[in-house]
Amino acid sequence: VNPSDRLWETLRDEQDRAREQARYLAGAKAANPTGRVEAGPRRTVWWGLVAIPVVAAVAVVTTFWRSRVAESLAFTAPDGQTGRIGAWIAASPEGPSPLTFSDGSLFLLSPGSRMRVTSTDADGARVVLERGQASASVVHRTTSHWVVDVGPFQVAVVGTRFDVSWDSNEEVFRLNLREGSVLVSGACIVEPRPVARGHRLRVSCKGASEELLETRGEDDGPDGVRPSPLAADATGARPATDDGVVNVPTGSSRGHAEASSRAIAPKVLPSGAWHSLVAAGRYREALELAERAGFDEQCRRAGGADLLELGDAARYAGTAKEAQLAYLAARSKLPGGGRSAYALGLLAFDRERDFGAAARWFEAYLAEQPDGNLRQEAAGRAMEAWQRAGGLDRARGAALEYLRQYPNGAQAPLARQVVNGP
Amino acid sequence: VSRSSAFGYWYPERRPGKADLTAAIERKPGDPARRSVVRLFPSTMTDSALAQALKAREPGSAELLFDRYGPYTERLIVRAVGLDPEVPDLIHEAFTRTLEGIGRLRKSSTLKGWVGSVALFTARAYLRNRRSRRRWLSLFSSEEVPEPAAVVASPEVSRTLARTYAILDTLPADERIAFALRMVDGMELTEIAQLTGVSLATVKRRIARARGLFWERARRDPMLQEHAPREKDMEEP
Repeated sequence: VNPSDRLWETLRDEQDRAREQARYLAGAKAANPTGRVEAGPRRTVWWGLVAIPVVAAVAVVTTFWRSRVAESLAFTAPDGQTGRIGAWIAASPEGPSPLTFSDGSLFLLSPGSRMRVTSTDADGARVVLERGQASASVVHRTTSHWVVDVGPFQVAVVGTRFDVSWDSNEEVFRLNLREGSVLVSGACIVEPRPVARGHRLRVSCKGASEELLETRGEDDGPDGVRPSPLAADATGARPATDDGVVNVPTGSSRGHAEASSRAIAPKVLPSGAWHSLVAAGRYREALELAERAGFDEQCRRAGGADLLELGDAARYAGTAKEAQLAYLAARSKLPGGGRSAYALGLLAFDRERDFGAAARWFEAYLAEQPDGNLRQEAAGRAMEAWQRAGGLDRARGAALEYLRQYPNGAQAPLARQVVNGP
Repeated sequence: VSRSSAFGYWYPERRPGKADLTAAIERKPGDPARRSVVRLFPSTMTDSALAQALKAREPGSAELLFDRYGPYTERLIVRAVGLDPEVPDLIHEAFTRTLEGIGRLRKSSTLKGWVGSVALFTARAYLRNRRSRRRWLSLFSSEEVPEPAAVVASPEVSRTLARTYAILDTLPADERIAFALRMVDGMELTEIAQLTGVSLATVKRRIARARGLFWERARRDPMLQEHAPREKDMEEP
């Protein structure tokens, strides 16, 4: 079966189901026509003469207004509310809090951090990290222009990913560039300093020191642990181990990279923490959010529905292992496992190509969810999985059962083929 | 049959009104007609005879047309525009246009094709208007115009279909209609050409273009990329 065929069959089935359920024809009988047909041209001419210049004027004004105001980026605070310029944004003490912008840019605030968005326009925004740490992922566009004020420092950004923190007690600024480049300026820096990918900058205003450190890997330290500031305490704890850092002396640098750190204990995120990211199709970022707060901990403590959504995010992000962990964790938290068995079947079928395992998962779903709304899909998938796994007897049995229950289902042609043989 | 019947609007002296059409089509087959008007036509009447009756504005002919081609019109419109809350209005409008334009039908035997063409023409106009309306609304709001709620219950399927519709919505109306009729409805190319009033070559070109645009976007979508056809399957419409 061509993979695209299944999509169109599903679309056709759902449209036909909708035609039955929505009773469009009955609606058409009761419809109040728009009047477009009966409104003859003689009646509309003078309206048109008036309407055209009015509409044109409104369009010009609106376009102008939009170019000035409406195109400004909108943002959503961690609590899901629409963000307000200048409003104080306090990160949850429980775990990383996402601040999302309408162009797709994202700031993840570590627990206890404080941030404000002081202005936005069509090309970016100016945000102030008052305290704590943030992990930024700024979408690159040719006209992008973002500024992050961190204590007495300014980080000018075009499009990049970086972690930044400000310890107001120790007066230490830290920046870890993961992608792209930024320009840092501020009170304790003699002249604006470009920082490129793979480098970290640490500036201590108290100690009058400035260090530019080059990391060995793209993101990871030698032990494979990401040195994201989100792994450190927002109140000024040292970032993760710098054992893998090569010290690159700069004009005013002195000493070595800091060597100690204290990772925060992983905490469970509030319910639905990654929901908005998943809904927006930003699966990798949703997964990152969970990983930064401790993926295993989320699997242990998050609710079943949240875990299914996390599993979906991981599956769509292409990380089968995490998806499997989340789905398996969800099984024990939902009545009958919810749709976790079906999701695990999809994972085995589509990602791992382990058709035997996939068939067993789909059959598990059928056994666990006698009233599940994915039963038709699961039955079809089980049949196809057995067929691909070479279990022809079981495929035939599944096909007969499928045809008995869904004679007009999307997989009925395949089922007949399985029953009748090639 | 009295001229004062509910179907009197088919008489030439009065232009059909909205209420007239609704009254004409809301009766079920076999029901006694309103105001003591009995149904005039057997359901076995040929298309040619029905077309002649429609042209002559004979009572009951509109009702029979709706009974016969309502599901067909509904199917074409749903294929073309998707699960849109405007579908009932579009069906109604398609029939209104069919009845008003019936005088232009040259070969009475091609009534079904005429009905289908008008349905697709109505859907095409709607798709174009919807697109510009969304563009217009986007001037006032940075948020997407919400999609109609899908009737499907499965979140998996629902999300996949929502993304499929989202990409279909980005296609030009002509390309979308040809592509949807071919891929979703499985319609023959010659029939699509006949219904859309263009040549077979144009239909092939439209489908090929729509297919390219659709899968180019769908391959970037994590939920849809697994459905992407193999390269060799991309060649034939």
